Amino acid sequence: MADKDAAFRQIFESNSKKIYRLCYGYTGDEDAAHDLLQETFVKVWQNLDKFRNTAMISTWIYRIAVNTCLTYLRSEKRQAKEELTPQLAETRREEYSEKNEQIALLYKCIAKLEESERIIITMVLDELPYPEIAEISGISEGNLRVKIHRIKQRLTDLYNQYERL
Amino acid sequence: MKDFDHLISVWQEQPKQPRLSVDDVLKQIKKGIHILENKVLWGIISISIAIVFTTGLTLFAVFEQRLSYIGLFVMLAGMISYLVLQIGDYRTISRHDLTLNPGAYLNSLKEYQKRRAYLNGRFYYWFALMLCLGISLYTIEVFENKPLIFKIIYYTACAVYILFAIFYLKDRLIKREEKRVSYLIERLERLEGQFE
Repeated sequence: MADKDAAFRQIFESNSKKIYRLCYGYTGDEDAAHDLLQETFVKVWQNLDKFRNTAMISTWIYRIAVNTCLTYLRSEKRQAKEELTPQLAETRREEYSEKNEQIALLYKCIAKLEESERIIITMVLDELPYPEIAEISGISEGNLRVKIHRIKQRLTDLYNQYERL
Repeated sequence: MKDFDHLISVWQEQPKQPRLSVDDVLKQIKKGIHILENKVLWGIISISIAIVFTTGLTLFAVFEQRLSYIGLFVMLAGMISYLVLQIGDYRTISRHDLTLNPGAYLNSLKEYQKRRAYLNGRFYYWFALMLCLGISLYTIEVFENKPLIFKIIYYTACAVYILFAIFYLKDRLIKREEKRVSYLIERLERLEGQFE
């Protein structure tokens, strides 16, 4: 059990930040992102013994996180919040800066994307290799490249459009 | 006009960190696992104390009428059956560790759900009936010299309590437990599906 605890700690430290961003990008809600992050890592703990291929552990965790996010939205019939800025602005006024404004805008644009696009783009933004994204999202690499190109274009357009406002 | 590389740099420079620490997650994992086990364990302890007390009364108290002993034996039979079922439930629920083997734990949980449905359903009425019968037989001699009004108040209070336990308390407690077990099963099944 102590070994499992130690292994889990290491896995959490190296992956939690990226998984949190994925959940936040997906839900657009800080509290929900924390809940999903927690649920993802509870699942990681429960299935750690089943996992053998340590080289691909991040892919495996991403897959769990993606499934958790999808289940969250589908089972609860929740919609991602479109407006992220008010929350960020109200709760963290002291942290308000140009950088935060850009981040909030980026999340706002991500929230405008389709459900599957949101997940893919957060992985692209985290610079995950394409084969890994393909495996996590269950899309063939060829189709994924086309899809990513389209999503990148759409996100950039949205970002520039909102920035001008 | 910003390009996608700019968005990547914004994304990667974000200071946003999860508030959740690894210790919080580990605490959450380990919490809640033993709630069901502890509940059954407390049930076992309570009924065991009642059995010890009733056995002591049967062995060491002197009664003139056989009915008093029959009453005590009926109560003991009901309580021992209840204890045996509770021990079975405890063994079912504690057979596997949720954190180490969720699949096996899920099966145990389903078995536990069936066992509890029996214990809290048909068996509970038998248990209540046996206790009522036992108490009634036991108190015939014990209350022999008590005034009639005392007997009326005592039997009415017993009947009211038993009816309250069956029709109100039982439903509330059982529903809460059923909800918890169903929630656990639902979550574990969802989890199982993700790893097939």
